[in-house]
Amino acid sequence: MSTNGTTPTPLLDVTDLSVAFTSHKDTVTVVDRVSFSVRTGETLGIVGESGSGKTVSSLALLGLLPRSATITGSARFDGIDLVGISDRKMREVRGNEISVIFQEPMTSLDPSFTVGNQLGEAYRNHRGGSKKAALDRAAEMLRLVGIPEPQRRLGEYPHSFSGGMRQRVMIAMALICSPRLLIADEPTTALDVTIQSQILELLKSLQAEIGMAIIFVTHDLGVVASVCDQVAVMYAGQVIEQSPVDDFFSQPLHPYGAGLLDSMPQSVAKGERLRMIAGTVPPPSGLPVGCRFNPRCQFCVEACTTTPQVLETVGGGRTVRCMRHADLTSGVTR
Amino acid sequence: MSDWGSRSGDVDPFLTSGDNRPLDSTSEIERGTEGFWTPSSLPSHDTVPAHVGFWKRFRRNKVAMAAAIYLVLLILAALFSKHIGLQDPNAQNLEQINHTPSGAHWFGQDDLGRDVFARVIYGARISLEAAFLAVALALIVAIPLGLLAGFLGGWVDQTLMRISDAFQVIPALVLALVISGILGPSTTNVAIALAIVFAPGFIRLIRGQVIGVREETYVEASRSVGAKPLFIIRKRILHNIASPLIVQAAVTAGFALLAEASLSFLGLGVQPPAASWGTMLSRAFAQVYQAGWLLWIPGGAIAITVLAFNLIGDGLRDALGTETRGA
Amino acid sequence: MLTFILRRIAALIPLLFIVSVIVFGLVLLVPGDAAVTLAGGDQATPDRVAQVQHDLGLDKPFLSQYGAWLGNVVHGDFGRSLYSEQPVVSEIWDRFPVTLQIAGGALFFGLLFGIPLGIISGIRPRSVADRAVVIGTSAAIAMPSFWLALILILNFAVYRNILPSRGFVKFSESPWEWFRHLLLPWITLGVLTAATIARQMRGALADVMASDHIRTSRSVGLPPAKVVGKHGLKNASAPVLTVVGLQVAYLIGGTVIVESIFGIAGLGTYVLTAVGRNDLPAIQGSVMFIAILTVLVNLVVDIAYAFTNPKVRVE
Repeated sequence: MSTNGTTPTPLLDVTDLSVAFTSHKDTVTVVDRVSFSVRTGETLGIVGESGSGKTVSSLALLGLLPRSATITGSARFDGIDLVGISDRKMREVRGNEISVIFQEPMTSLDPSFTVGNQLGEAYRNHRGGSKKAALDRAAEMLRLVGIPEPQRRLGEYPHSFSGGMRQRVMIAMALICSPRLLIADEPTTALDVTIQSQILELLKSLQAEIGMAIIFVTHDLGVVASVCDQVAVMYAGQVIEQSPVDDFFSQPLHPYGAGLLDSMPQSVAKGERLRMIAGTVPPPSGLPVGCRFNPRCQFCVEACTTTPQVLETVGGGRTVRCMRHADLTSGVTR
Repeated sequence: MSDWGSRSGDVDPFLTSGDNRPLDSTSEIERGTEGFWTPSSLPSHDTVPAHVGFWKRFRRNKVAMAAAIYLVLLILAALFSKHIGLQDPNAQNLEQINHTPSGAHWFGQDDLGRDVFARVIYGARISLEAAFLAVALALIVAIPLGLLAGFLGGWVDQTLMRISDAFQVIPALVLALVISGILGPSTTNVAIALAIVFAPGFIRLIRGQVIGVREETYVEASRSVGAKPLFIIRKRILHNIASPLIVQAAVTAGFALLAEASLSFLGLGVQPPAASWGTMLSRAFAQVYQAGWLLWIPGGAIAITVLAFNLIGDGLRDALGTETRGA
Repeated sequence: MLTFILRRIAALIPLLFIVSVIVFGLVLLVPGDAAVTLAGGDQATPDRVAQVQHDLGLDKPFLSQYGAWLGNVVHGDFGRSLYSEQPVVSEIWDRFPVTLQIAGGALFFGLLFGIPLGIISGIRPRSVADRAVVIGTSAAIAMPSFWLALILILNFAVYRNILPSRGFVKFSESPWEWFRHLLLPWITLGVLTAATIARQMRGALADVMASDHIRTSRSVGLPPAKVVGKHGLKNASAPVLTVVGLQVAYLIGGTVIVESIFGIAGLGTYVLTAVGRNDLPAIQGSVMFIAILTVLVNLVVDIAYAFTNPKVRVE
């Protein structure tokens, strides 16, 4: 569903979020003044290659980064700023208002405790109450995520569950307190393709039922196309484009975004060579001067190599970080 | 847009590698040349003769070097004890019992007026001899048995492992105590007893490494078509077995020294008037109320030397870059 | 769980069988003519030699000697001491409680200090506290334990008369004196135990805390105490348990020296005096007993391990 200007206040409003890691004497900025927003009930896809900073940005929202990370900027969630929040308040938010599911379902559950124990623990942490009530709720959640015989499964250990099943358990754990925002960090990357679509379907239906917003971090544009309402494309630590999904797929504004779409296997005819963007993502310590994408950009001109690009707002609720986007739009249609 | 970038990832290798001929000589493995058949399991330092890199790495570890220098000096002093102008370690001087260190006697004098410094050096000889002999005997027994267990597998392996387990169930000191006691108190018997105590550990290590190498070699052999498997086996085995073994031997020598000292302390080692550090310690303890300070010297010698062995073991482990597979 | 325990116990039988062969085989190590040496060597009277030969069945073939001995052992009979003529079993049983108190107390000491130090170290690798723990434990591990005993005696009994240097007092006679007499032995053995446990806990906990499921626990908002105390420790306990098992074997062996230094009449000194007198039945009996003890302790550790690690029970 696409939206235009007449929108209510966003549920999550991230402005100039930066994350830097310090080790010994060096400091490396991995996320550089990233801004995006999510509205209630909406799904935002954050897309990028490995090293683009998409995972770090989303984990930074919940303070789940190592101690060596410094987070600056602001991330306003329902009035409170998640950046710089006290530990105690952050723990009230985690698993309760905002939940996260991770990429590796095989290792994300504690192997030494039963599934029921872990789900119940997550529930009682925020809602209190008796163990029995928590287990009932846990069983209900297992049923909701499509695990058969939930009561029996509560007493089993993670190793009795397959990868897809474990991811469902993770989803159950994340949603057990009905959060308003779910951060899904590449939840299907480690799963088989058939399971992948099942999990995506599950997330979509749960979203409709609970009415929560989702931030979907992924490198797979196909997933974005099927699940997301908005998409934010990240490159080398910056957001370089944010658009409603349909607009992005029909007319990307940034050469990198266009390149990503072009490199999807679906965009070439059978027998044709797959297309790729030349070059590699620059490391945080070796960023190019000017636009970070300029060494790999077909449309690079003199100014691109000297002037750092700024994120501008374009009509239709879109933003883009490329000074040539207007010139290029005509040439980059698909 | 443009061609294929460097992100080959999980693409069919034959499309991206330059040439796709299989390796046809061992020198290619040595040079680590491109070609998708380069087994990833070959560590990079196989391409450099083993001993060159090792010394450089070991020398960089200052602590291990210091320990090694100390040990070498100690060994030399012990070996040439008769020729370096020490006082007679057995010469008694009953007028000067328990004298604290002086110009003539750097470490003072013991309960019979004997020069402690000389006794420490002569004692080093006995203690080190016992330790090295114990490790050597243990290796002589363990290497063939470990190789046998590892290569033959099956019931030979199972039997040897069960017997090893049984030996290791008896606490080391008790076993050593009992064996050397029954054989009769002497340094040699202590060494034999310790060899029996340490052998199972070595057997287990060697066997484990052989099994690991065996499995890997099958994989490599199936990949490196044409490469001489015997050469790989020899190189891999030497590195994978010898390296952890050397590290273990160094550390075990330290334990052996400690164990010999314990047994001598209990009266089961060398017999008077010769003394190992353990015996000196027990004499000093016998008169702890009169001359307690005498405890520090042989005890300190033991502690420092054991520490030196441990540090050398650590240094060897880092320099050899070993990966030990669990036994 | 029960099948697991039964299977483990069943696996012990062959092990103990081989141990019994080793222990009985000690008779083969006796130099010279066994009967003569055991009877006193040069000073042995012919009567005494004959008696020893008869009592120990030394004139019979090895296998039948072994069979007879094993048969007795299974019934709890370790024969009679060549020296005191008393049943070895009762002599061991008299002295065993004392050794248990020393080893048990040392283990307790080791756990009491080792676990907290390991935790402090493990949750903040490379911090100041961690570095201190690493250095401290390295020093403790390198130090010969019996030298530590001697130095402790020097400092606390000789230079300052705070603690006794010898002897044992029963708890029932005087709890305070019991404690005073055992404190130095406990420290002697416990320091190495504490250092080993701390090291192991540190490594295991540091690994666990870096794992994905700990991140999950944090992500649902669990407080740090629960993350470390419940999820961290449960998963780190396996390697620590293994080390505790090994330590017990060391502790049992270590009591030999500690009892000797502190003049305590326990199982350790019993073995020592038996060896000194070539009292073969006493030697064999006590070594067998110690081996059985070690095996039982390892069994307990295995069970505890399976308890904390559900996957192990299935295999």
